[in-house]
Amino acid sequence: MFEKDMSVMKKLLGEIADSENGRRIMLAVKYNQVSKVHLIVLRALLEGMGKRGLFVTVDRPHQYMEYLLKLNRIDHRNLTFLDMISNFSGEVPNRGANVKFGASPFGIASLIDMLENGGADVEGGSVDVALLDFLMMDNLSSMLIYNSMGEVTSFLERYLRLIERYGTLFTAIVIEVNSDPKLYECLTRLCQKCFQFTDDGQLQPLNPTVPEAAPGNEQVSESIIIFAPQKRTGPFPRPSGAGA
Amino acid sequence: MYALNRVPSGIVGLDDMTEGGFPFPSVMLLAGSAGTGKTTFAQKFLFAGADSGERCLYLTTLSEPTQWMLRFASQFEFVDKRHFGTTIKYCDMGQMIRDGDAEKILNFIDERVAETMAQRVVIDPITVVGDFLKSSYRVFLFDLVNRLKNWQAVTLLTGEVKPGELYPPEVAYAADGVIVLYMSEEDGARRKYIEVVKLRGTNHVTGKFSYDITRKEGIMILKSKF
Repeated sequence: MFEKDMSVMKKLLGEIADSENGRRIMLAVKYNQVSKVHLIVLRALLEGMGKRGLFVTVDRPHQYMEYLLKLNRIDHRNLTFLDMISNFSGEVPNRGANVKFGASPFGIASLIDMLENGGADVEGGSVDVALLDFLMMDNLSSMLIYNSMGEVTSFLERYLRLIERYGTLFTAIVIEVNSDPKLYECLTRLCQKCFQFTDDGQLQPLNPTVPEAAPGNEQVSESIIIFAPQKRTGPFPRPSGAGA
Repeated sequence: MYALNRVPSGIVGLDDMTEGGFPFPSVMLLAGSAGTGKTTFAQKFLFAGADSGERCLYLTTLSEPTQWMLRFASQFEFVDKRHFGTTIKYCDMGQMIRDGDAEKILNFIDERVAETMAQRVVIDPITVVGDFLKSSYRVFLFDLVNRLKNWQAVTLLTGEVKPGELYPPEVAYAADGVIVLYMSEEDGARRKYIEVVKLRGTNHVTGKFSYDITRKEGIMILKSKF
């Protein structure tokens, strides 16, 4: 990682730490910067805050992120992967001690069932969310390839309730703005702070209602939304037109 | 419907034919005979990315040594030399290819792409690799394309074609898109044409379009359809 990436990580850590009652932060990221920002967020959580977490991969096999973590010397001993996609990737899965495999990215409800119930039906052993500090998914929008909008919305609702139930759990949710503007709109309504990760590697404040942040704008075509621990009150704001 | 992100190609006129650019991530085959402008196309693709802040990687196999390729490329106005070795990394794979070990070649490419975190990659040309491999070329291509997409990059593989061949078929099956550059002798002159033969997930324009190679733009598609 470059020096400017480290400064972004420090700024991000400051924003998360500045949250006695929790903080919801959105990072708007160009689609081709997501891997880099994944690394920044993971470094902040694993090394900067000493957290223990689960990284769920639905977009690409876990070994790519694991490789980047190793290459960038990010201590990921406290990170477990739940790989939902390798069985469909045409590759030989890299079976390590810290990897568990889900059957498929279809039937998104089974993933949240698994997280809620301690990881039954997972190849490689169970996942006890109670022992974790954070959950992260590589790309929620990829679920729209395999599941309906209603199913993904329902998953998100249950996922956020799961985070609330544990109270101490962080999560970082990645969505592609262009792929699902309704989910984006729904999530940005939950966020208290928004930043844009610029092409030159800076983290700048962003008002998500300004035209530059509108769905379809290439500069913010992807968002990483971080929920620091906080008890949310009130109903989950369902996106308009999301059927079951 | 899940919408694909698209990367502008940098080639004047091409994105109008492909719903805005190449899908991200994807692996594209650029096929053509000698002199059609494959390397110029590849350079323009990378410099367009570098100009917009992306990291790029250029892997040469066994065609033209990097130093000579850069010497000729530097004559184009779009070439900003500040990108040489910084935002665009150049890497010569000649020795690796000569050894013909598929797994070593794949691992070498993995390492270079991961360490640069490149968003645009060029392998120029891919077709010679098949001549040196000790194992199945088809399996190699499957693994290569799969891995390159999982690194979250748009990769341009250039492919040399044999006489009478439109594109190298084994690479075309594995790639997400196929763009063909070719020359046709008409009225005593050789005219250049470009055609998008295949592009997954894209309602692309079909048919051949004439193009020119200019010092300012590199490859430039002319709008008249033949």
